[in-house]
Amino acid sequence: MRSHRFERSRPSSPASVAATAVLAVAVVLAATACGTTRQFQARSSALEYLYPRGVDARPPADVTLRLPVRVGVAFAPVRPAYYQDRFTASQKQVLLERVAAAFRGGQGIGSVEVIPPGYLTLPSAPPPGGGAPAGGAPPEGDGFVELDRVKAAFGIDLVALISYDQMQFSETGRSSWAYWTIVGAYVIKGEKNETRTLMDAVVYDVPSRALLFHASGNSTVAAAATPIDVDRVLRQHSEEGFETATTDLIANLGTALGQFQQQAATGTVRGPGTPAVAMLGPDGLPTQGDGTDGSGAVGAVELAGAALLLYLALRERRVAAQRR
Amino acid sequence: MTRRVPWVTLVFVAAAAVRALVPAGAAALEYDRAAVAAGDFWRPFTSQLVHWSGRMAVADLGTVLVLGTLLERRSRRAALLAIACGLALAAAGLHWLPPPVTRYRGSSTVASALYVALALDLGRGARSAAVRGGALLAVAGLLAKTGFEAATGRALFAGPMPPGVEVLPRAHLLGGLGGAIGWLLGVSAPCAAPSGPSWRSS
Repeated sequence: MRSHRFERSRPSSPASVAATAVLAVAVVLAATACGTTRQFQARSSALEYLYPRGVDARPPADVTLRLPVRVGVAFAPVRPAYYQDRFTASQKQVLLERVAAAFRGGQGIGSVEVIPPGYLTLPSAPPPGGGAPAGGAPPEGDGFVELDRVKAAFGIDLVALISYDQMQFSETGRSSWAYWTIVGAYVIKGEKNETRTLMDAVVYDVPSRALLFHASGNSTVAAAATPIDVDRVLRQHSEEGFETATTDLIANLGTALGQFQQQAATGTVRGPGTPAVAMLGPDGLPTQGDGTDGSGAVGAVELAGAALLLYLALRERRVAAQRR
Repeated sequence: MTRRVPWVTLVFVAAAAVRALVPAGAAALEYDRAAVAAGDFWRPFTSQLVHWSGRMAVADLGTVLVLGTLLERRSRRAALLAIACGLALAAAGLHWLPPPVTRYRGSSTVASALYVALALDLGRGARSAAVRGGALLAVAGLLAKTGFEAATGRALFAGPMPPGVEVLPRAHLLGGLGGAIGWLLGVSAPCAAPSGPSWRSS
């Protein structure tokens, strides 16, 4: 036993005193770590961007969609206060490309543009008593003012704004305490970590400011790591969390788009009381709105049946060969 | 089963695979309701060569390759007629049956036609009750699956589709029906030469 070896050392020797002091400090540190909960949070909010506090929200107007529509995909900007954002611009760009690729080829969708991270900035709150913001300050008003400019620059009709909220939770357990004091912090995994990621996409018609549909995706990544590895593991989990949540988001976006198309065929965005929606074809005439994009996809049942037929054919061939 | 090279199947799969590797050109081959109405009569047939995703292309073409090779080695005539009848029926159903389809892509019509024709051919020429039962089970499974999809409007085990794209059960049903008709024509025609186990006298 390691503690037994410690008891055998002579307390009067300088080495023993030093060892005792080191151990005491380690125990104190471990005890502190044991009670420590570390949290990293990364978030952006489309709601905060589009409807900031202090700015009156304008009601949405009726929607006119000219098919095929042009869609822009962007991340809602991050408030600078969230300085522990592990979600880098290059990661965001990759995930935006994934979402854009999922949209491309969809029914009624003409082009999908990725709006690079950093193009959108949070509008500043209006100064008390009115007046223009200081030079170089973020734009005043709601996010739609900026989206109008992005619409003109990128030639888009709709914008899909993606928000995210990732919480990384780290707490040390008993095993971590033991190895911190005796063996070392990096030998055995003892720290439990959990990363929870929620991604949400809202699709707006920019001219009318109407929310057409939204979808969300989430993921939970949990694993153990040595305390010394915590930062590296948390970074990995952060990436993994965003990847998995994006996959979930893309699947749910497809479902939401299909539901919106069915709903829009009835004439309103989300039922009675919501803005009316009209869909026009490239010729400017109203579309029928009841057609679907079809797929002749071989599924698991056909694959299993084909495997069965292959087996039967080979068996038949073998029987025929035996009879000859 | 003879050793003949399944040229029809190989040409179809190769053409669709090359098309899948070249991103451009899919829009010119897919079924597009408006374009067909404007005179692009080939689109219901060439839509079998284009797919919505790489995963879909692999699943569709892999199935066509296996089933087509098996059937064509037994009877090229039956394979050709099954494909032709399946395509003709599915094209008509795609364009004229409700609800309207705006666009369509996928090789599952051809796969369904070959599937049913092969099952019938195996069942007809089988020397054992197990093979006949297995062939019957395969057809029943396909019918049950497409029937469920047609009744509920939900795709069964079809994998993810791009946004707004739905699996079309009628393509499978009509493809399978065409495959059965094509196979019947193939085996009942006076000029049909015995070429596989189903035509051999035991």
